[in-house]
Amino acid sequence: MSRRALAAAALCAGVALYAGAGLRASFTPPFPPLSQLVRGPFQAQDLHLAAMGVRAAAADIAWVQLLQYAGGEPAPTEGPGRRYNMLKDMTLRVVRLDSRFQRAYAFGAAMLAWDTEVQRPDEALDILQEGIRNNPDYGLLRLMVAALAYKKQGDVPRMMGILESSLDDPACPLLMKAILANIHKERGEYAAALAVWENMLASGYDDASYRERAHRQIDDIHRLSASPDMVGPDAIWPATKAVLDKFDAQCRRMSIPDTGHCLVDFMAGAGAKPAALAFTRRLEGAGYLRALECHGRVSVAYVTYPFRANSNEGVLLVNGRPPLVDVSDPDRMKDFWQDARLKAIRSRNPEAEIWASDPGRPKVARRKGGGWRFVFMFPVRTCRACADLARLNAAFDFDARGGVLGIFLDGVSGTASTSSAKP
Amino acid sequence: MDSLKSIAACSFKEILRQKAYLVVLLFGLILLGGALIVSVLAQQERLRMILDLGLAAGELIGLVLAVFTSVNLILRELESRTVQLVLAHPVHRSHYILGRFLGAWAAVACAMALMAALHLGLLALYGWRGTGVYVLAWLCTLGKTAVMAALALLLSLALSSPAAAMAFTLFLWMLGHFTAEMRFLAERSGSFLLKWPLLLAAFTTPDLARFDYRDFWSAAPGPGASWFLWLALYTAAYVSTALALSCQLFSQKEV
Repeated sequence: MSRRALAAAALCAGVALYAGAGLRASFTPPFPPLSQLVRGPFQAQDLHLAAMGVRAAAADIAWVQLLQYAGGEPAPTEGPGRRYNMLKDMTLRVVRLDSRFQRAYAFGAAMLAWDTEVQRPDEALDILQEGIRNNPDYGLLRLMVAALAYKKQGDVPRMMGILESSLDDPACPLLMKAILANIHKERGEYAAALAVWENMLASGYDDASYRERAHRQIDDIHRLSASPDMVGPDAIWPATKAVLDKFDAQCRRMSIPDTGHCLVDFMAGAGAKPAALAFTRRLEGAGYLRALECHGRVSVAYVTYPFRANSNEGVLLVNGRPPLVDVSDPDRMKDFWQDARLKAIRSRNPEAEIWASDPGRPKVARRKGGGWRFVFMFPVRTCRACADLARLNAAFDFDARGGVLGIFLDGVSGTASTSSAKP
Repeated sequence: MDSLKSIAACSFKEILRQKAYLVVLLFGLILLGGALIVSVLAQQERLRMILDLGLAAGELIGLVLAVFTSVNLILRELESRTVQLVLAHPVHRSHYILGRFLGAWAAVACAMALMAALHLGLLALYGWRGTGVYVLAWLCTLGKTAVMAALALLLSLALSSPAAAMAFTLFLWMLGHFTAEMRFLAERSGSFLLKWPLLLAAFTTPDLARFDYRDFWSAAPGPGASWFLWLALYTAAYVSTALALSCQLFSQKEV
C-alpha cells in the first residue's frame, strides 16, 4: 500500500506540474502584478483582498470608495489647485485591481478633465492611456482622448460633439452625461442640455439620486429657457461684412431718434432670429449681440453699437440678477476713487477718468465658495487719446445663483499686463 | 467499490446534519443579501457588484466548509475511535479516505450549488443573462475548493491537530494566490539560497489564482477550451496527489 500510494502520488504530482505548465502557457490572467497596486491608505485592504483571491470584488469595493470620495466634499487641506487630489490614485487603485473595470477609467478621467472643481486634464490623459492599453477594444476611452485634445485646444464645439457621440454607449458613466449637460447649460444651449438629461432618464437607470437630479435640472432648464430676459446663443446676430455694409448704407445717415428702429427693422429684414431682435430691442435698438460666453448663470455678452462715435464695442454681463449689467457704466466705479493710489493720480491729474468704454475680454475665475468673478482692465486717462496714467482691474462678482455681489477694485498697475483681445 | 460509495454517502449525510454546516450555509445566504444591499452604492455597476460579491461569498463559504469539514473528517473519528468500527469491516483504508473525501466534497458542492441557485436568481432579477460563463466560474471555484479540501485532509493527517491543519491550509490558500509573484521573485533573485526555495514553493503550492475565472472572464481574448482542459487536469492531478499522500499517511496510522 505504502509504495503504491507514494508512486501514485509521485505520478500525480508530475501530471500536476505538467498541467500547471500547460495552464500557464495557454492563458495568462490579465491582472497587473501586485507590485503595481496603488500605495496609500487603502493598500493593506487591497493586498488582503488580493491575497484572498477576490480581485474583482476588491475592485468593486474600491469603486464604491472612489464614488464616495468623488461625491464628498473636498478635504479642507486640499488647496484650490488640488481639489480631489487623490482622485487619480483612487481611480488607478480600482483599475490596478481589475484592469477590465472600464467604467472606472471613464469616470475618473471624466471627473479629472471636465469637473469644474478639478480640471486636471493631464492626469485624465494618464488614466485614459492606461485604460486603452489594457482595453484596446473599448472605444469610449479613445473618444475621450480625442475630446480631451479638443478641450486643450479650446475647441469646445468639437469636444462637445465627440462627447455627445458617447452618450449611447452603455458604459458611458452618468457623471460624463451630467458633465456634458452642465457644459451645455452653461453655454446657454438649453435644448441640448435637456436632451442629455432626458437621455439619462430614458436609459432606465434607477438610481434615485441621479433621477432626482435629472428632474431638478430639467425643471431648472425649462425655467431658464422660458425666462423672457434670458439671453442665449440664439440672440447672437451673425452679421457678415456684406450685410453690415448694406446696413451702413441704409441706417448710418439717419437722425439719432430713428436709428433704433432702423437697426431692428434692418435685422428683421436680414432674417435675424426673434431672440436676436428681442435683445436689440432691450438695448433700445442701439446695438446687437455679436458673441456670448457663458459662465454658470452669468454670461458675457459682446455687443456692437453701430451708431456710437468712438468705440463700437461694449460688454454686458447678462442672465444674472439684475439681468443686464453694463460694465462700462462709470457710475458703478465712482467709489474706486477712494483708493489711495487713484486718489494720488487724480491729485496730480484732476481730469483723470476711468476709461471704461472699450472693456475688452474679461478674465473669468470661479469664486471661492461658488459663483464667478469677471475682471475687466480699464485704463485711467485724462482723454481718449492720452497716455495711460494707470490701469485698474474692476472685478464684478456674482454668486452661484447669478446674483451680483458687488464691483470691487482688484488692483491698480502702472502698465498693462493682461490681454484685451476681442473675442 | 461499494464500500467507497457507502462511506461517501454516509459522510455526505453526516456533514449535512452538522450544525456548523447549516450555520455556515446560513452565513453564506446572509452574505448574498449583504451584497444586494451594498451594491446600491455602486451606481451603474450594481449588477457587476452583486455578481462579484456573490461569487466571492460563494467561494469563501465553499472554502470554509471544505477546510472545516476536511480537517475534522478523519481526526474526529480517530479520536473517538469510531473509525475502528468501519475498518473492522472489509474496507480498504484508501477507500475509507477517498469515500470520506468525496462525501465531504459533495456536501460542499451541494451548499455551493444552493448559493449559486439563489445568486443566479438575484442576478436574473437585475437582468443578468450570462449563464454559461457563470456556470464555468462556479465550476472553477468548485475545483479550487476540491484542491483545498484535499490539502486540508492531508495536513490534518500529517499534523494530527485540527487547529494547526486549518492554519496551514489557510496559509497555503493565501500563498496559492501569489505563485506568479513567487516565480517572478525566483527569476529575479541572484541568490541560490533564495531562488530554489522560492521555486520549490511556487511549484508545490497550488496555483489558486488560475481558478479565479470569475475575475477574468471578461478578458479579451479570454481563456480558450484548452485552458479549461488544462485546469481540469491540474485539479484532478493535484487532488489525486494530496489524496494519495493522505492514503499513505493513513495507512501508517495506528487506529
